[in-house]
Amino acid sequence: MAEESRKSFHRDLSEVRNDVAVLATMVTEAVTRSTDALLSADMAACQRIIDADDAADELSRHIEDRCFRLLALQQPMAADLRTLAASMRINSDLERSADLAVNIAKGARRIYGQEIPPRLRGLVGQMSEESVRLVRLAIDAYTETNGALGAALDDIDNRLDQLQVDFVQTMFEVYANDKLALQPAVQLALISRFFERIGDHAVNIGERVWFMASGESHERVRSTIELVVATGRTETVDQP
Amino acid sequence: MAVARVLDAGMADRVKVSLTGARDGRGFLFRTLLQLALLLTVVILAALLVQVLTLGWETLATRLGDFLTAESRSRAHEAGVFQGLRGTLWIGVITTLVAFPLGVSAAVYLEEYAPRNRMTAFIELNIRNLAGVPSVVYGILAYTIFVTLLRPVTGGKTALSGALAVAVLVLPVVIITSAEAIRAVPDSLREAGFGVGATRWEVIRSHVLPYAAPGILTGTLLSLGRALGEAAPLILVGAVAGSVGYSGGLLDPGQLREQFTAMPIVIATWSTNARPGFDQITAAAIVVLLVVVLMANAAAIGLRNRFEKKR
Amino acid sequence: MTVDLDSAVVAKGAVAPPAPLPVLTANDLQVYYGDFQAVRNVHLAIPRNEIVAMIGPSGCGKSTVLRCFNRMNELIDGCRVTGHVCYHGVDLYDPRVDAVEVRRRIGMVFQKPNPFPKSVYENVVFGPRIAGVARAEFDGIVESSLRKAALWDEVKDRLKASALGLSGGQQQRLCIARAIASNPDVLLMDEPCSALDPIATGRIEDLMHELKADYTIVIVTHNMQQAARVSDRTAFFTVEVSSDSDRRTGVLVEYDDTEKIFSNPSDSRTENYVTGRFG
Repeated sequence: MAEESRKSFHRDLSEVRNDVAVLATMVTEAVTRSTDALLSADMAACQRIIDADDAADELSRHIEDRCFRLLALQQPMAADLRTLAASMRINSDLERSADLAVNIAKGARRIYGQEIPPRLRGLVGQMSEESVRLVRLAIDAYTETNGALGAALDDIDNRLDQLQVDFVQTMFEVYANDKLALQPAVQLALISRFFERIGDHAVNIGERVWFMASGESHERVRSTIELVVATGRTETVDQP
Repeated sequence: MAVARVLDAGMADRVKVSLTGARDGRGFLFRTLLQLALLLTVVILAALLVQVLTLGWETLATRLGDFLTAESRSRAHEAGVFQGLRGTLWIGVITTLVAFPLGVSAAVYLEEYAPRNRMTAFIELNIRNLAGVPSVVYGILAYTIFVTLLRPVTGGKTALSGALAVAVLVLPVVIITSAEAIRAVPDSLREAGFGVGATRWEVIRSHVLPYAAPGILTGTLLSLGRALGEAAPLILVGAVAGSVGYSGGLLDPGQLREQFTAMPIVIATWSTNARPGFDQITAAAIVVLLVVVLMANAAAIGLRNRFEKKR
Repeated sequence: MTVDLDSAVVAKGAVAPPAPLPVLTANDLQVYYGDFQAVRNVHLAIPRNEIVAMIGPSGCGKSTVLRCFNRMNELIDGCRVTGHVCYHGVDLYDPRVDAVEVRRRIGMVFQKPNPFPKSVYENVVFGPRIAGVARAEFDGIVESSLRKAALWDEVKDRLKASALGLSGGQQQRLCIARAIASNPDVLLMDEPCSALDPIATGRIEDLMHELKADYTIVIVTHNMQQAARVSDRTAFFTVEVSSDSDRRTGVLVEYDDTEKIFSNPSDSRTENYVTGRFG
């Protein structure tokens, strides 16, 4: 084959991928900024984050329309088809993550005026960094069509899960020492859950990327790996 | 999935039997009959050629130059075909000059311009019928028109009258073959021309005629070659069955306004002459006529190849 | 050309989404072959610099309508048109309008690639030559037309070779170059890819996207997916069989944005056709 054909469709497809990456950047920024707003108790910043979510929703709707249009009109095939299907689902994961960032900002507003104990502040910072790192890795995997990186996110997410467990544990201790009121404790528990959920969405994105790159569902891969680990066999085993 | 394993062992044998099957006996018989038909045609042609060549060989071998340049005489060993060649040459030239432009023009009109109605269909039907009319009838027509009515123009029983008679004879064939050739031009070519804003005349001149040219030329020249062998209409417009009084050279156009004879007349006359030696010179004259016609055909093929290359 | 604008055309308003500056409009278009009506009541407006696709089952009259846009239908015996087809507001069927001039402005590309049996160069310059363009401009026209048709790089070393030596896809792009060379502003394409393989088809579709900047394109296609891929607007035609006789007449069912036609059509007949539920 001498030359690429269907150039304009491929141009549209790469624009979709760019838009998804832009949406991911909006998510990571929103997470970082709502964490800052939470820790500095900056109510004006919280409002700005909540308002800015409209832009993320708008971009997400735009991506969805675009994907739908390309599916309806362009008959994508093979990798193109997987990219579009994956992009639509990644889009909704990112849109949910942006909402979670907004939820963190709203939580910050609810505990306004309450002091957050230093040990918990440290853990919030770590959870924020970790969830942002996961989203970034997921989107790197997406833009580079790096299936292996996508599949690895599930394991990478373990650290964030552990941080959340530690956070809840620490919170109980602080609460038991009467250093924290019930109201902010509940809010903080929810906020930690939001970070953890953002991480889960990043793992989902990783699984979509694996599918996009390989054409195989992630469940199948996981069960194959588990089977290999369990039996010590190295050849691929067909699933029914 | 392994397909081979699914098939049972007997399957392959059954398939093999049904695919190979029995030989087609009747087809073989039919083919043999067709080959016999071809063989018969070739044998007849070859016998004809061999007979004419052996009979005329002595004359052609010993006195070819004299035979081609001598006039018709009453003694066979002095007689030649010069006058017949001169007449046939001029008839050929004038027939081509008249029949070709007239015929092709008529064909272009019929195919490209004429409305598809009953009148056009009627005219086309008649042209087809005219192509099948016996040549004697054309002779009578030519006598009435060219010899009698147009005597001031043609000079009466002259080579010009003969040429016009042959022209009228081949005209229907020229029109039909040209029309077929024009009809064979794909419509997509015409559409392409019209599609970029060409007029009908531009489409015909630039695309239809060049594309149809090989077919038109081949058909026309082949029909001309055939017409050069016609004796009947020439006899009726007064071709001389003996020596012609006119004594111009081969390429002298004065022949057109003078008494004339032609190769088929010479052959017809000699063949009925019972004196010794005439059988031989008749055969030699036939060979000369064959060569003339073959040359016309060769020209047709040469021209066609040139046009096809240009396509 | 000095032909009056036909105000009746503007007044009636074509059934179409709001469109910028229509180049071609069909109003109340009826086409007959002899006394048989082939197409009924077509209203269409073709906007400038857009690609409009016409789709529908065989015999729905989409090709017939296309040919009405540059009066190619007149080459068919017994074809008669009533109603108005306007080009920049000028009625093409006004008796003062010259069909030859129309076809120079509204070029056409056909189903089967039909290059002239001449050289690549001669194919491209045929239009300019008969239009009386100076010979000195030919070389420039050949290069720019072939470049626009995305064929220049493939044939620049064999401009004098016969066009029949090109591949089917190249021949079709040559036909597009030939149409462009006459400097039209509308290109009509009658199933331009139906004789081509998918790769050559893809190339022609890419080309159409590029040509959109300079030309308005109307394409008839049997291939719904192609209409979906290339066009901005789609017109869906269908066949109506009259109950008393066996006469089949083409009608325009729906004309809308392509995305609408293929994702949420208004008419159930369109829905049935694009989803494949149409007999």
